[in-house]
Amino acid sequence: MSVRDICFPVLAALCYSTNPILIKLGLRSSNEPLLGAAIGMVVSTVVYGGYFLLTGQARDLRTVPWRAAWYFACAGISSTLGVFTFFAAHQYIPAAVVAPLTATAPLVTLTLSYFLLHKLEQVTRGDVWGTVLIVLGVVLLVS
Amino acid sequence: MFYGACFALMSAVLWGTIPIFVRKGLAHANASVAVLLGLLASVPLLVVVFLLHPRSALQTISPQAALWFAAVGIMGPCLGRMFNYLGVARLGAARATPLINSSPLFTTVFALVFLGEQITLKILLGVLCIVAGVGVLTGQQRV
Repeated sequence: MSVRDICFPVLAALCYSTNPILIKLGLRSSNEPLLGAAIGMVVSTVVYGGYFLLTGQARDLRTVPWRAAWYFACAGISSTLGVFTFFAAHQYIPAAVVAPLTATAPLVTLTLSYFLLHKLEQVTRGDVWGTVLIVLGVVLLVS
Repeated sequence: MFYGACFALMSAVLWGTIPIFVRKGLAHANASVAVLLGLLASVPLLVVVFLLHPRSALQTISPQAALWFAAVGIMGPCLGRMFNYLGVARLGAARATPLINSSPLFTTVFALVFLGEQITLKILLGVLCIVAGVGVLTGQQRV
């Protein structure tokens, strides 16, 4: 695996790592987590839609097969529903319990990859150990 | 407690399925299209949130909070998701996802450096586990 290969996941992690701080700052002004999440999603849709159109990518949409569009739509809906259930969980249990439970998401991905993506990628023993160690580390940090 | 744990685990399952959908769709289209279609698919859910929420966003969210939540939208669903999908495209779902989910490592480092938080044994163990996990994942030959 090259440095270039891991730069995108690391950049994603860096972007996501700012979210807890930004959310905390937002909630300090207005304690409305669900509305706050919805506002963030609306802004991201408008900004990304604008970027997509201004960079001339609209023609790419015409070539997307329906099956792929359906997969991407499911990914988006899963993400948004995940945010809603995350906020719902906070209404019943403390954040110190919610965070370690949600940190197990890569284990779900690993399991589903093994069963559903076997034609596209192979899950190795190293993937399993690496994922388990990272999930364990994240659980220790967020609990 | 039970409902809270169920909601938190639902979040993990929902977020864990995202890379699977994305990986399947990326066989036919690029990551930028994936981000846009995912965001557009969530719009009906956001409309429901705004309509069903007991209080109007304009009345309850201060302008300052709106700016912070907008920043969350830019860093998370815009930039974070773009890098996330590019990572899945290059490394595969099983390998990119744990790396992306190591974001609490960066949050912890920021908190230690900028907020002067104390390092505890639990934090040290968590950081060591994540670093070891990243080492195991990135040290493998690409399959």
